[in-house]
Amino acid sequence: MFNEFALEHAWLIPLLPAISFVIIGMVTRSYGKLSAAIAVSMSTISFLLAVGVTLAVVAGNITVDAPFVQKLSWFHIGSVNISMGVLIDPLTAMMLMVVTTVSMLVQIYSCGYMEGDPGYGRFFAFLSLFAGSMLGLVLAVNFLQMYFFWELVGLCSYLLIGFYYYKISAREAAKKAFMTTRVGDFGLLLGILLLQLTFGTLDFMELQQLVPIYVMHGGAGFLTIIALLLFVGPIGKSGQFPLHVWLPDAMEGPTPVSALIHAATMVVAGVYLVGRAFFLFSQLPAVMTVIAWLGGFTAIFAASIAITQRPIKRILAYSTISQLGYMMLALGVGSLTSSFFHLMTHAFFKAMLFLSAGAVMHAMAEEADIFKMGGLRKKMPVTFAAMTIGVLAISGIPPFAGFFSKDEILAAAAQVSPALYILATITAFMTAFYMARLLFVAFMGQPANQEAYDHAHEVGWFMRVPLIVLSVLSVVSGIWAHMAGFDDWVRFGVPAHEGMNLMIAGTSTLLAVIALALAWKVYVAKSWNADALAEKWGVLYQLSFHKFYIDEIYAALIKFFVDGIAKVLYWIDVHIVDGIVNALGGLVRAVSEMLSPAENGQVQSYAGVYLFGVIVLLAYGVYYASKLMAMLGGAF
Amino acid sequence: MSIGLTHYLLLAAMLFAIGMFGVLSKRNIIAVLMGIELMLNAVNINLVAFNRFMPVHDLTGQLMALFAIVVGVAEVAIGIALAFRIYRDRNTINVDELNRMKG
Amino acid sequence: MSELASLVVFCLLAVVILGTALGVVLSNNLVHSALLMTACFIGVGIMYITLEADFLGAVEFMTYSGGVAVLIVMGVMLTHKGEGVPSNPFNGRKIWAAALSGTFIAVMGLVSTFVTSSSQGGFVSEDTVGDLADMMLNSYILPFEIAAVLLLAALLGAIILAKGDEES
Repeated sequence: MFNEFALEHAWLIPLLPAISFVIIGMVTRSYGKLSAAIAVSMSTISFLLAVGVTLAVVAGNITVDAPFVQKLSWFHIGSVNISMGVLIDPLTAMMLMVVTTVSMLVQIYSCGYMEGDPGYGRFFAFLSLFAGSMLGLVLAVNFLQMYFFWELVGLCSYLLIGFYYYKISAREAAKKAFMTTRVGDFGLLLGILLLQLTFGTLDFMELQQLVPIYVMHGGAGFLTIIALLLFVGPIGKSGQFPLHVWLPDAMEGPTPVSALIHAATMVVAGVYLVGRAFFLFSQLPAVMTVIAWLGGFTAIFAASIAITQRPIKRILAYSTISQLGYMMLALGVGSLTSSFFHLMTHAFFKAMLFLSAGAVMHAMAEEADIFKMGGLRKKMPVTFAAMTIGVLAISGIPPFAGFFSKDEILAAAAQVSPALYILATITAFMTAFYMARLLFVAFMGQPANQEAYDHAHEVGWFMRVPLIVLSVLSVVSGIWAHMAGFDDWVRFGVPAHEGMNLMIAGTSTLLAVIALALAWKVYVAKSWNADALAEKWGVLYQLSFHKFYIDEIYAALIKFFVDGIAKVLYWIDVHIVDGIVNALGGLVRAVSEMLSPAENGQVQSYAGVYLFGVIVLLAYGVYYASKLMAMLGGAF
Repeated sequence: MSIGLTHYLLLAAMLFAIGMFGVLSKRNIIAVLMGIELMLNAVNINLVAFNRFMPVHDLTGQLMALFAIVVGVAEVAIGIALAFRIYRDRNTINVDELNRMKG
Repeated sequence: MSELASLVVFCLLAVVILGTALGVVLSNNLVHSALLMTACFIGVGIMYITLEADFLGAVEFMTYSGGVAVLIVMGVMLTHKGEGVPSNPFNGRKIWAAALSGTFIAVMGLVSTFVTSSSQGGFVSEDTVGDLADMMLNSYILPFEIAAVLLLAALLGAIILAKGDEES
């Protein structure tokens, strides 16, 4: 019963958080606890509905080939009909589960984390809107609806990253995130418009029918351009190279926001878009190659940066970029299943890692540098346990969640391109290393800062419960989904039934263990001196530590181009635009200076001018009358 | 040559022009008023002359002139009062000095 | 009246009217101007009579030659600045004013060429007073009443203006 109800009322899932946003924003904003209660209860209802939808999808005949669609007409412009509605298939159901779960847990966590913040109510309003936007995006039936929510998600990320608006760095980060993703959104919008022009519809289900026919008859040429433009959107949103620069800076927001952005909402929107439009991308081998290689490159690129970073959240941010690269890589090699599998497991363990990092920073008075922590294992056992599980999960150690999803990706990559496979494996190795580094440096060894260490304490229950729930999910979600036939469920085309490739799984596990051991040797046993290593690999270390100077390169490029254009425009403005305006002004001034003596206040001269006018009119009248008379032949 | 409408009209035009000259060229505000009176009389001559020589059937022209005289008299009364007032307030009736309208 | 007589009368009157009018505007003495203006109005009044408008001529004598002239002389005296100062000087625009007036006469001269000069026609009343009274109190009663109100308003306005503010 409930399942049917949930399915029929799936539109409530994004609507409820949106309602909570409105209520909090307009009424209860100044009552923090009440606002939190509203937000959490709304997202809990959303979560329950999402569970209902998922059960209905599992129980019913709803598959990726036969989705459940509800549509309402949104607007007509000429012959263009755009609907809004919900499209539910296993892909959607999975995303709904992930988003509602993570956002609900993050909201519960925030109740504790944001304690005492003056913007408590506002924070929950934004969180609700964020979750609502993402859920709307997930349920979209066409590209335009998706774009609408896509932009809403971007707006919310702006609001939340800039939540501490009184901090300059937060404002700058918010602007950076907004503008960087805007670059991607522009490409996406162009792609969507071209799709509408080419096919006359933006509806996913209709396009799914039309695209293969188009490719069969017309070839892939133009469609490749459209697909590449569409893919620019995910590059921006999902932080792929070269538009990844906003993601690490997004750490300026409160930590729960980071968890939400990185795990469940913002960044996976790009992956979801590619997955949703897979019928388009999978037809175009060239685009698929681009996606795969860009994903692979982003993965190893971000991982190589993460190795040398010191702030805990920044390490996690680069790890997110790297993992998103993984997902893109999986999509690029044609394995929707493994990509979304990894999306799900990653959402759970990355959310947990961020929440743990938040707990650590909360305990350490907002200290972010892992080298100033140390020894926290004894003070914060729950957080330590959670963090350990997260690290093992992301490193791909069996039986944690990451192992299964990562191995599916590796297997899929190996089938398509050995080079990509090697790239992905090296990335996995690096991932294990830097995550272990984070764990060991922050929690093992001796406290680096005794005062902060003494101050540190385990977090409260509001924050502990989400950590525990996510830990459990991080452990079981992988193996459970693997057993339950995720491959059959979330797929594109025919399900790829593959047994576990023991060779690949073994290699990656072995590498992960070696990486962990290596990290242990360097950072716990201190057999090798980390600083000496950094010294030895000087150039590489500097490159990595400074994030390959991407930000600096962008700054220089922007400075060069913007300043150059600005100089030209400045010249035009000063000499041409202002010149015209000044010339006009000067003309008026000159004329009025010529005329102003006439305004001498002498009534008689005014009267003289007036009478002169009368006489002129009279003279004209005479002239006209004489002409008239000549015409009439003298008779008057 | 018999005297007709044209002669009266020309006479009136000349009187009007003289009055106009006075209005435009005199400094004393009372002299200006005198010029205006001359112009008014020129117009009245026109009206009466039209009544006399144009094909009309009643004395409308003369009546009109009568009303014009009434208005002219009222105007003179106000004009003189104004001149008097200006003289009292600003101790001058020189029109050239009354240039507060200067922009 | 014979044609010759009327011509002579007209010419005489024209000379008187224009001459005195020129005297009004050219004289440097305001009192002279006022007196010449009275003479000018008398000429105009006589001209009305030659135009078969005897009542209007009488009105002209009484209001202009009488009332207005007296009013203006009073104004002249009240605003007199003393001896030695030309009471009625020209301003700097004499030439311009003369040119304008000359142009006006020229244009009007052109206009008069369009008008057929008739010495006959029109309406000649035996009893102008009676006829004017008839019109004024029948067809033109409203303008008549309004003229009365106008005169009253002018009277009050002139008194208020001339009397000035109450000294507090």
